[in-house]
Amino acid sequence: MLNDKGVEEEIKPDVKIGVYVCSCNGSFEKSIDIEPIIDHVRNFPDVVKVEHYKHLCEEEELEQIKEDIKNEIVDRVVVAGCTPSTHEDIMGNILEEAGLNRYLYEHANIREQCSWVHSDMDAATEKAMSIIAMAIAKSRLSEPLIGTEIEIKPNALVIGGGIAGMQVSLDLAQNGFKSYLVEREPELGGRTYGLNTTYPTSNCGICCMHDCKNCKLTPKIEEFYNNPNIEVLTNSEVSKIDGHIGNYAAEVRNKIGDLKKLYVGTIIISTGSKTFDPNKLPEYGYENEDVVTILELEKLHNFRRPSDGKVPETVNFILCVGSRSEKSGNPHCSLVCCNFAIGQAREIKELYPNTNVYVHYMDIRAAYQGFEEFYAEARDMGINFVRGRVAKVEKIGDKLMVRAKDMDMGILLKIKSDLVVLAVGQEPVEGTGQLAKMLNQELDIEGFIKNINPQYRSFEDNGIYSAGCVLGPKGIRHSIEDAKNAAMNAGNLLRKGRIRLSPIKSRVVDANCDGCAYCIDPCLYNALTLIEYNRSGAIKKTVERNEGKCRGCGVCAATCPKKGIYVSHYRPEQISAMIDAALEVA
Amino acid sequence: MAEDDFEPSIIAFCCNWCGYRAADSAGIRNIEYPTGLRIIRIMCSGMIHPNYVIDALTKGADGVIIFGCYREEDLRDLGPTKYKACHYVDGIKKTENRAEAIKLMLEDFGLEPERFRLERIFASEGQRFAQIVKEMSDSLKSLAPNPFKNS
Ligand code: SF4
Ligand code: SF4
Repeated sequence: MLNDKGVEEEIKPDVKIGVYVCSCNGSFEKSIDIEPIIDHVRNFPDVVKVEHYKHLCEEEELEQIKEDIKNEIVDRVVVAGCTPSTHEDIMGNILEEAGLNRYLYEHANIREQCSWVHSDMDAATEKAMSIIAMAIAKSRLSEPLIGTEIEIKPNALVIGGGIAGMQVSLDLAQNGFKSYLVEREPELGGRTYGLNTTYPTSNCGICCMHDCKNCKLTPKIEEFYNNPNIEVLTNSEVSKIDGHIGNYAAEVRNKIGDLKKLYVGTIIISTGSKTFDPNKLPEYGYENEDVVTILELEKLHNFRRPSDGKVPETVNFILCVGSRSEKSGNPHCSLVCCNFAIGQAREIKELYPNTNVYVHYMDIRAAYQGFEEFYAEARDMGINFVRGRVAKVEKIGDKLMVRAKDMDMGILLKIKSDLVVLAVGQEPVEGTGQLAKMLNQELDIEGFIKNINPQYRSFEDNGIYSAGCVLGPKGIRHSIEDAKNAAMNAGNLLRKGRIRLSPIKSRVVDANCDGCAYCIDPCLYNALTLIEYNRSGAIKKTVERNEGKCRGCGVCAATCPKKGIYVSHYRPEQISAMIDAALEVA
Repeated sequence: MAEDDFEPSIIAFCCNWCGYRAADSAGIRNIEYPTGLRIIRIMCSGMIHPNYVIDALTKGADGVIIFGCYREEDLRDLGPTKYKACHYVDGIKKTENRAEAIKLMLEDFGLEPERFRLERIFASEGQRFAQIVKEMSDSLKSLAPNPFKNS
């Protein structure tokens, strides 16, 4: 094995490997024969103990492994049994509890990848032996690994000051953590700020920060600006971010060009979404003054027509504008538009009982508490729900002609209308892509920040969380839930103050690296830099790896032509030894 | 060894997130595949240096396969419900470029192109995993023995 200085070092043969073969409650004794495996494994020179257990998941049996470690019978553990996808962490903890480094554990997956997929007992038994031999080969060469402990800067950067971002900052502040809230618009509150009413509660709602006619002192925003733990930076955008979990440096620039540098431990992305631009669907006649979106309707005084200020006698709502159809916008359902439009339709009906209100829909998605009832009530109020697509909206005189299909009746309708309201969906907002790139976040295929499955997230936290519509279309209550969740994750990190990084990172072998820099560009996390230093009077080039940024993917190692860099726990010698073991005929 | 008994040895490098879990998923569903497969788990398919592939083949493996994650553009074709789990932005693309180099290296070593494959897979595709392994095993059976075997 090459050490850090590139000197060939003999691996100390005095490892004491314990092999614990588990047959999962006897379940795979049907397809593999355990006894010959035990006899075979016993012959390995560095295996000091091999034992068959029926159910290693059980406390007493796990206790046995701990005892063996504590009594210094074994100093490396191989468990042959189920998949490491579920049990590696558990076993790592067992080792640690017994005082052994968790990376001295190795698994041999003889369940999912052997006993469960082969019915020929001889072949499966032989394969199980080989899988265990591979694990032993790796274990023999494994080394204790400890990640570096780093400090977590005690504050957060929240990008985007809509309700999600505001809630994140508030929750963090309540827990005593400072956050900087950066918003590119002059006002906080995002889209919610312009809403008069939220549904189905029909009140000034969950967040209470609307531009209410009689209320200038909107409590949440007041609370916000007065909170010593929140620094609001409006009219500002994040222009640069560098660093890693616990220690990010961000540059924030405001509209007049002032630059502010922030150093934070965690970042929350809450930049939201934008609404679909109905100009993309000319059939809906959005160029007409009296065709408005649901958000524009909020701004109309008492729902009067924009063109002449008259009370509308007939109003047509069109749902799913830009949603649920790849051809006309986006494949996804925007989730909030049905309920929002129904709420507005009800308000019009309440204010003007004689006005005819039509809602053209494909399906009504009224999930979650209170919405189905809210919708049923709307029908009872005399709002006409028409299932089918609207084909065209045209201006005829001072009216709008809505041509629509009524699929239930199987007829084509022509409705003379005064006002047409488009329930536009949500799309990724400009800049989401750049931000994602800057922060190494992945996007989903529509361009929202990808909602990472928490199962995968556990692997290694990068201290970046997202909340609200930047993850996809969402209503207020779910944005708030997201925000609380993100604030909790961020808060947990900040509370720790220090964390240990995963030790599975690339390591540079200075003696082999000649500074050719081939590995630098392929690294997707910008973790490598070329450096020069003075080695006995001569300039030596080499690369330096930033431990916080490196994710241990090994792309660098696979690029290097000179064995100049490798990833710990996946060292070339280990992989090569596994190949040898795999090809050995038992 | 009679032709019929020949069980090709295949080394599979499986990334931790998709390839390895696809193999597990074949297991959970008890989908049989040839016993000659030996899986080496790595973090990312982008970790595989071409030397590992050549190393395995010149040590006598009949075939080498790398299982990695899907790419962004595949998802566009496969549909949004498919969950991409690549952990390293697009490590798989690096693997793909490298696969080209590996193919050229096989030529230099006088090895048939069938001996090396790169496959993209979802963690849930146990059925496909088994099928790919079976196909590869079958195609290796029709080749002359690996000239590096027992040498
Ligand atoms: S590719 Fe290898 S030799 Fe070149 S700079 Fe990177 S580590 Fe050094
Ligand atoms: S292991 Fe991956 S993230 Fe780390 S330096 Fe290498 S290429 Fe970059």
